[in-house]
Amino acid sequence: VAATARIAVVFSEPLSHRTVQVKAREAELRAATEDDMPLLRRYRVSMEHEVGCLGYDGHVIQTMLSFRLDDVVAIRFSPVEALDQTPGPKAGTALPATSAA
Amino acid sequence: MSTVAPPPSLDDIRACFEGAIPAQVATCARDGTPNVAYISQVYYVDDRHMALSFQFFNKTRQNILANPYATALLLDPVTVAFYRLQLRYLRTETSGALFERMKAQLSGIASHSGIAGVFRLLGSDVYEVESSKASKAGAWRRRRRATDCWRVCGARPSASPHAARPTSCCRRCSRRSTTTSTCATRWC
Repeated sequence: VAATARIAVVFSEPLSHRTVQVKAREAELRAATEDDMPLLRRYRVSMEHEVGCLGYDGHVIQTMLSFRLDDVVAIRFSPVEALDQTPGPKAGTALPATSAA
Repeated sequence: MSTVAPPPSLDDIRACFEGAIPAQVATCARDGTPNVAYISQVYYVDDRHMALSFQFFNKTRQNILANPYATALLLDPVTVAFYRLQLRYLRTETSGALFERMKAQLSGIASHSGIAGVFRLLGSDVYEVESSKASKAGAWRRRRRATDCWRVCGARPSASPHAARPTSCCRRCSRRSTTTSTCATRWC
């Protein structure tokens, strides 16, 4: 990302396997700060719930997503492409863009 | 004296290949556009090689045919440590022992994931693992666990090379950690 400002990120919902990839061309890097902590905590709590539904203990996700704030890098970007990557023959299909209101 | 931990070999991280947790594989198109995808099956071939399942002609496959370099992020389902592997695509096998073994394992993964019938193996994409390393976050977690163990029983942490199979890290306090059996004998 630092070299090209290009980025691809994939998100998957473990319970439904619904998966989406987004891509961007002008990603910006910065160090994470205390201001980012509420977002990081919310994501971890959400993942604990989601993966907990699959039978995993909360401490598995807590360990998996444990971090030291000075190790975390925040990346800001506006997606220019989105793809459905849910497992199956349609994986890789472009998702239609919706115009901004 | 501090020592630099050697990179983990594939033998050290065999648990990552059990199919419990999907791996992430990043590739790059010829024009430099990155692509990242969850891969349901990463298969241990030998200490220097691994294979990914080829099920659909997706972007990952298009990219590695144009540019054979890829990066895989694996998660150990027991220790929850991450490993980053630099890969180079070698070939695709569509029959033979490796293909049949992967086909059988993929069937099990699909069934376990509740999406049997979605996966169909077309080929086994074989990669050479050019380098590997435990992720920084994983290394930090292991250091923290070693410290915790020391606090509980006073056992002296050794320079743990990297996570392998979980074992009782300390016979005095029986805490489990991500250290190898070699470390266990050193510690207590």
